[in-house]
Amino acid sequence: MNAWGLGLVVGALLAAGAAFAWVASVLGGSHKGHEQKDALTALAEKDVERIFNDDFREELRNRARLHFEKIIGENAMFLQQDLRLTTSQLNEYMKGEITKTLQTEFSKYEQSIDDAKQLAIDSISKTQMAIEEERQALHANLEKEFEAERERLVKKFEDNMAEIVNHYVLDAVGSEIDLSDQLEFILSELESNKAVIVEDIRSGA
Amino acid sequence: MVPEPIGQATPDKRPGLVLPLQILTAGDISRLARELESLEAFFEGAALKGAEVKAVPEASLQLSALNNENQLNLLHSEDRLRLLNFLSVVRAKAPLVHVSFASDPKTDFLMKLVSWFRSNAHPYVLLQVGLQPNIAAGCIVRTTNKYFDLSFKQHFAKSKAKLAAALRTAQ
Repeated sequence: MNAWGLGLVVGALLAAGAAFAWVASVLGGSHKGHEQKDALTALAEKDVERIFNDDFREELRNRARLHFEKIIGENAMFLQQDLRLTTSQLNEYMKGEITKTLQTEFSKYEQSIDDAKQLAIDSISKTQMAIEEERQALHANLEKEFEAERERLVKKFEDNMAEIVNHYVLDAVGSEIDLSDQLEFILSELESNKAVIVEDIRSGA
Repeated sequence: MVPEPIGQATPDKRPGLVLPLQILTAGDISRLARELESLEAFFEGAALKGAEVKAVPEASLQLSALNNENQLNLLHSEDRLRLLNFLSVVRAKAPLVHVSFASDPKTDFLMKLVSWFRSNAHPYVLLQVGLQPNIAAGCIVRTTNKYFDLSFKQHFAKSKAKLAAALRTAQ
């Protein structure tokens, strides 16, 4: 029973008291006057006092308290349900929002990573191209240097060829060459230079 | 024109002396001169002692060759003096030819070499022998004013074009 029910009960009781008082006054009529009316009023009040005594009031309070506690409990339950529902909805909402935010951030992060990756790829490609160009230039330069060095060595070898061959002959067969075997060669060489040698010896003698 | 031997134009009109092939270097001349001086001292000593020398003390092979080829008698003071003068003049005026070899040459080799010089250039040519191991073969001749590289090294240098061509063909 709620407050409205309690109000209806109290209103019904008051209406019954008022009707009893009215009936008594009608029955007493104007014959008895005010005395009868006072007696009826006193009687009504007495009944009222009898009906609404402390026990009845206590009973009403208890009922009202129980009813109020019931209402409070129901409201608390409704509130709890609402709260749970709201919490659940809030959780869902938060999940959705967080998921959406995270997805957005992840997509941004992924985009940033892709951009950085592309930038790194571009940078690496440029670096590779630069390295390749440098390598080709270095290769060409090295080939040029090698060719120049080879030419220099060949020229040096050719310039010193007589010395080299002489050194080789000296090392190879130097100890085996007998001067007696060279006499013919030496005399032929002297014959080749005979005119100059003789001229110089005679002019100096 | 081949120069005349020393002594040919001397007032006594005797033929010039011959320098044997065994006498090769200026050192040989100096050694012979010392030997002759020793011999002369020996004869002077004998004369002071009043002893008669009938045989010449044993001389070196070079002095014997010089004496024999010129048909002189070392017992005669005049011949000894002539030889001494001859050696002195040769030491002072004979043309000197420097010859360098890769190794120490033997005497007979040098004799053949000096024979060429004496028959072609001057009869009293003396040699000064040197060593140059880096020439491998051949010799280097240096006269008064000239330098003649007769070594294989020079021979190779002259044939450098042929050698280079052969090496390029081999590559």
